[in-house]
Amino acid sequence: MAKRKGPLLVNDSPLRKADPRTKLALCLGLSLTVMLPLEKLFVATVAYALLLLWARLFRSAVEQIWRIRFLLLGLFIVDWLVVSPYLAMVVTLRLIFLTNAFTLFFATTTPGELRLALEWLRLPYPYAFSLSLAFQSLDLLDSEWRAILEAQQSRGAWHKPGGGLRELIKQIGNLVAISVPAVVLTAKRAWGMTEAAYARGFDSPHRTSYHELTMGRLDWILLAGSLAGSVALLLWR
Amino acid sequence: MKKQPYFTTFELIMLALFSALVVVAKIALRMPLQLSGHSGIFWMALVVAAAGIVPKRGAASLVGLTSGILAAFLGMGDLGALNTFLSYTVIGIGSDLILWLLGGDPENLVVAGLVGTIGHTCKFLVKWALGTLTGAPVGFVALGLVRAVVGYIVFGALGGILGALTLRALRKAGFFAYLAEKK
Repeated sequence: MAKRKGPLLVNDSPLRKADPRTKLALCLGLSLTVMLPLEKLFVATVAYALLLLWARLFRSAVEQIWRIRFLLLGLFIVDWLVVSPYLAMVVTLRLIFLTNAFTLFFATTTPGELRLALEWLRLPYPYAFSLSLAFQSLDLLDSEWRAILEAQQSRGAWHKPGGGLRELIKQIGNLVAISVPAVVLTAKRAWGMTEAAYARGFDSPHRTSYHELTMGRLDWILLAGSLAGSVALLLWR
Repeated sequence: MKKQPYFTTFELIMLALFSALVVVAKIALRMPLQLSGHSGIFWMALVVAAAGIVPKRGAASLVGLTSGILAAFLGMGDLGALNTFLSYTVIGIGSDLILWLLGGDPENLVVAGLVGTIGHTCKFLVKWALGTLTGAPVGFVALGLVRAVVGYIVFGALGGILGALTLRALRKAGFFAYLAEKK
C-alpha cells in the first residue's frame, strides 16, 4: 500500500494480548466520556493518558492530535473569545477524546481478531469472512489500481487534471477509462475467490475456527479497572 | 429447507472487494485540485456502481460499512477512527436510502447524480453530530463546515454521474451478461 496515515498495528503494546471484545468495550466506554463535565473529563483524560503510556500508544495518540492541531487551536481560541474559557477547555478535551478513543482498538487489533469478535457478536460468518477478505485484498487491489492508472495514462486515455474543477468536469467521461477496468477486474477476482472459498468448504455446516477468543486475566483486570473508574467518576461530586 | 441468505457469497465477496477498492482509490488517487472532498468522485462512483451491480437494498450500505472498518484500520481521516468509520458508513446508508426513494435505477444520470450528492453530503451529518457532541456551539460547527460543503456537493454529484456512466459502459460491454452467467 502506498501512503497510509495513522495508527497501524503497534505490535509491542501490552494491549495486543488483550481480547478484542475487551478493547471494544473499553473504547465504547471511552467515547461516552465526552458527556462528562470539565472536572471529571480532566480526570478521565489523565487516566486515559496513563493507560496510553502503559499501552505504548501515547505516541500514536499525540500524532493523531497533532494532525488536528489547527482545528483544536482555532476552536479553542474562538470558544474562549466568544463564549467562555470553560467551554473552550471542555470542547477541546472532548474533541481530543473523540478523535483518540478508538486508537486503543485499531492500533492493537488485527482484522482477523476483529472478525472473531464480530462472529462472537453473532454476525453471520460470510459477512465476517468478507470483511477480512477485503482487508487482505487491499495490497492486491492497490497494485491493480495503479497498473490501470499507468496503463490508461500511457495510452493517453486519462491524465491527472491539474487545471482545477472546470477541467475535471470536462474529463469526467474519461474517468470511465479507469473505473470500468477496475470494476471488471474486481468482479473477476470476486468470482475466483468465491470458487476458491467453496472448494475449501466455505459453506460447511460444521465450521470450526483455528483461532478462538478467550478472556484472560488481563481482560478481566482491564474491564474491572475501567468499570471501577467509571463508577468512581459518576459518584464523585 | 435451508434459508437462502440475502446476499449470495459471490455478491458478498464482490461488495467486500468494492469496499477495498473505495479505500484504495481514496489513497491512490490524489489529484492536485486543492479542493476538499475531491476524492469523493471515485468514492461515490464506486458506491453507485456497486449498487448497480448488486441490485439489492443494503448493497451500498454494506460497501460503506466495510470500507469504514478498513479505513479506520488504516488510520485514514484526521478526526480519528470513530469519525472515519461513521463517515464511510453513513455515505453507504445515505446512498442506499436515496436510491430507494428515487426508484433505484443507478444508471439514470439524474438519479445517480442525486445519490452521489446526497450520499456524499451525508458525511457532514457525522461531522456535525460529532461537533455538536463536543458541546461546541452549533453555529461554529456549521460555519466551519460551510466552506467544504460546496466541494462535497459538486464532487459527490460528479462521482454519482461517473458511477452511472461506468454502469452504462459496463452494460454496453456485456458485463451484466457475463455476471448473470456467473450467478
